[in-house]
Amino acid sequence: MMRIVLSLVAAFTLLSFSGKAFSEDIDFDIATGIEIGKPGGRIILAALGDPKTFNPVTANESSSSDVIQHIYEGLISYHLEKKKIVPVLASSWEHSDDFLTWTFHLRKGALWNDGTPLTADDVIFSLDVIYDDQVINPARSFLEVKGQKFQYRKVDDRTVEIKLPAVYGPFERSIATSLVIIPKHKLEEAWKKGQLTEALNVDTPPKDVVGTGPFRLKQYLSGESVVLEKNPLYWRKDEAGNRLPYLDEIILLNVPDLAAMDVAFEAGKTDSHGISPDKYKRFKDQEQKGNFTIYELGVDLGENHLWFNQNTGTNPQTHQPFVPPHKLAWFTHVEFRKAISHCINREGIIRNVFRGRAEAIYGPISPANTEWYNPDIPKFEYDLDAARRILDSLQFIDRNGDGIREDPQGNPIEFTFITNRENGIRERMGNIIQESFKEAGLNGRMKLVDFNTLVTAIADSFDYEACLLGLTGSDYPLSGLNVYRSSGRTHSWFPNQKTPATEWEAKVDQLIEDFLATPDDAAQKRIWRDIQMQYAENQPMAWLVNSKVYLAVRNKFGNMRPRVVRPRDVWNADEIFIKE
Amino acid sequence: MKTYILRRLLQVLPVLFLVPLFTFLLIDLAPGNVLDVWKLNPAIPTEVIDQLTVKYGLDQPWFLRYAAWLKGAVLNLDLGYSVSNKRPVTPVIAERLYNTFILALLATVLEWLIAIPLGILSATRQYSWTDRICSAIAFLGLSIPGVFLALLALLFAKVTGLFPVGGLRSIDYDSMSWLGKVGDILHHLILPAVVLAASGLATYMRQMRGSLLDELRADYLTTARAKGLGEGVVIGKHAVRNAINPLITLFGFSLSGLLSGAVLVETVMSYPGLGRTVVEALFAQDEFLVVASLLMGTVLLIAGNLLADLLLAISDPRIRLR
Repeated sequence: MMRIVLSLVAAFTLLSFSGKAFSEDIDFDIATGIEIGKPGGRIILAALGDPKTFNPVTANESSSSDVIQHIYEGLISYHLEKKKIVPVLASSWEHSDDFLTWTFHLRKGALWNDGTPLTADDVIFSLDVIYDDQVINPARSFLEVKGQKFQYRKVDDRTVEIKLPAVYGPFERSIATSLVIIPKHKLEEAWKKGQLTEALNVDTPPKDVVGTGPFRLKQYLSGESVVLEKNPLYWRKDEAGNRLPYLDEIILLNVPDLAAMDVAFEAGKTDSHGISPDKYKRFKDQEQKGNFTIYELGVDLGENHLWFNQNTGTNPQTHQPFVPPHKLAWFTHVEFRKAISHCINREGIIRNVFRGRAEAIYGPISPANTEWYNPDIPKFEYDLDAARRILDSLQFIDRNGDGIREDPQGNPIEFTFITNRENGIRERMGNIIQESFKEAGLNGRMKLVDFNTLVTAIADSFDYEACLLGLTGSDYPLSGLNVYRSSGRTHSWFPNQKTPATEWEAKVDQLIEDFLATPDDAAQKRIWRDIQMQYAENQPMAWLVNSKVYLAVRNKFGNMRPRVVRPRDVWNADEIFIKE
Repeated sequence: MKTYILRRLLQVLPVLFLVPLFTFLLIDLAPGNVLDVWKLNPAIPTEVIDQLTVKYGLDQPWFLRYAAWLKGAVLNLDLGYSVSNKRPVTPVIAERLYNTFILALLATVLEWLIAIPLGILSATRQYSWTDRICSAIAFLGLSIPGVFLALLALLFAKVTGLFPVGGLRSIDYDSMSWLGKVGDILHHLILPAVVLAASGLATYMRQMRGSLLDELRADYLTTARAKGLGEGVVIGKHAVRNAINPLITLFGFSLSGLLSGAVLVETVMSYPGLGRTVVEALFAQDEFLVVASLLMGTVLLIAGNLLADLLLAISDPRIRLR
């Protein structure tokens, strides 16, 4: 009995001691320029699908990262409003004059949500895990320069030094987005056993999901909801001295599809809802009654485009070229592709498919990405006469009077573009494009295929002629290198090139290398303006339209500042509060 | 009886090997694989896709994957790994199975409790107004597609606000009393269960009416009445007892059907059941998860038929199982 009492006393003193020691010594970050809120309440969001893992290193789907982003943090992060890197777990950092040595100073007194202090060992551990070949993760490739890993060491308990083998232009942004700090004291054992991928799956008890973020996991019910609760140990305060976050809970309700999402918001079950352009009016009419506001966030980052298969390779089994040579000759001709862009009736698509709620685009970076978009790129707008003139000049002329042009060898200009049948919007865009092709004397037909068939065609078998598709975008071009580089997997018109197939692709590859070697922000932006110029002039794809983005949020929230980059509503979840 | 059950179980063993075999073959024939969603995401490095392809044996021919799966399944009862769920298949299925089970149970109870009495009523009062109304309801239930009915139910819930528009429990479920929790779950269950029960209810009702009508014309009923038995005993004890056999057989089949029928209701009405997991797995081509769910459907079908045969033997003394 005495032993129990003694150990209880010991445990108690230890607890109160550690609590006191750390709470008074925390180097708080003061959130400036925000409205002072009051604690309490919750926000309910809809999520498509369950989280698949609570492991931030191996997560590679948005249903997981939507949850994880509130639980874990990095050393630094990029603040879109302030347009600069801001401190997170590192309260300060500096670099040597040659940009090769970076020193990060950890936030004094920062704690894991189980009360354990965060130390440099955790940062070292996180890097060890990311660089471990056994741990399959998407972060590593962004934390390498010229194929080499960074070198890193612990200087003292609160200082980590990272040495680069060469200058890495996007270093800070990469650290901000790709290096998530995970708790060594919880995960080291699993990692040593080679089970890190399996550790922290959705069966893990909530108390073992340990992060430093403003919220922690409270409950997960498959197919129903994820409940996140306030992390009382969080390291941020407002100017009045209130500890953030304000909200008690974030709840992510699982809904099976977009229609169910609409209904859940209309029924008052959720507080925030992305509205597709064709449903704008339906929700606008309910604004008053439902006590919400629809924010117009500008055009989307993701793009829709149409491209031709320009793969010069041959099928390894049949030894036949992927694309018949006469067609490949058309597809690789830049003037032909310009004519195609002139055939895209973007205004018609905007009017008929998006009810006016979209914008025409002409280059690979969306105008929504204001920091990186180049507004001066050439625009090959909808102009059937211009298209006809170009086709005539290529000697693609209708020689037999059937309404379809033939190339000088007499091959009728006909091709099929595939798109996935699950996406109604693409099908409707395709219908409008088909019409214009016909008017210009081209026989371009749409074929609807299943998603998996489409991916196989464009990524594995390369057995297709053209494809209409959309890709998601991001606010920083680094994550899109797979598209821009000629060796990239999503360099859709000719992926995985061993050496650049064309001069302009070689030029872009070189520009990307320059970007990767330039730490200067202005220089990086100049380079990306050039890259966009190369793309727009060479039209490897015809860009179509980007829809506008609308977000409906209930009026009761303070500090709610939606933006087009995801997460659109809760990117500042720790600052959001309930008014009154 | 015991030997009969044993023989039936032995007969199904080959099925349990063949169903996964064909599933592996068919999934392999379909284009693409479970990694397709990641292939189109520029932010996922190519190395990650290559590593995952090797890790999950997606670069190997389908029969090797089948062999590896079979070995694990037979030796360790390990049904494999769900790539899209990043977890072994068994917990993925187990966590949803219970939800689908209570939905199916409630639907079945609704079906039988309503269908049998109404069927008897229709048959005993053939061509009366009661019969006509019951028949009209039955035809409606049979002819309205499940999707449409589910959408109607959803609209009803949204417009009136009387029922929740999806889910299994409220957000404040944890702070409720014991009674409140049961009430809350029932409140969420009632609409999906009614929708799920609708078509089965109509089938059972018409079946009950039809087979009872056959029996009502039988000579033994005239004898029973001549002996002076009351009408309740004549119908309840003699006619219904004989008329119920086809319904027991139907019940056996319905066991496996409940799972597939639930897919639709679960998706439209945002119900967290197994059906949704299975459909998602199918679209994602998540091999092991599809195999496991098909296997489960097969087991349910076999078990349902066996159960129906046993129940028939109990209910009908003329049937002997050897």
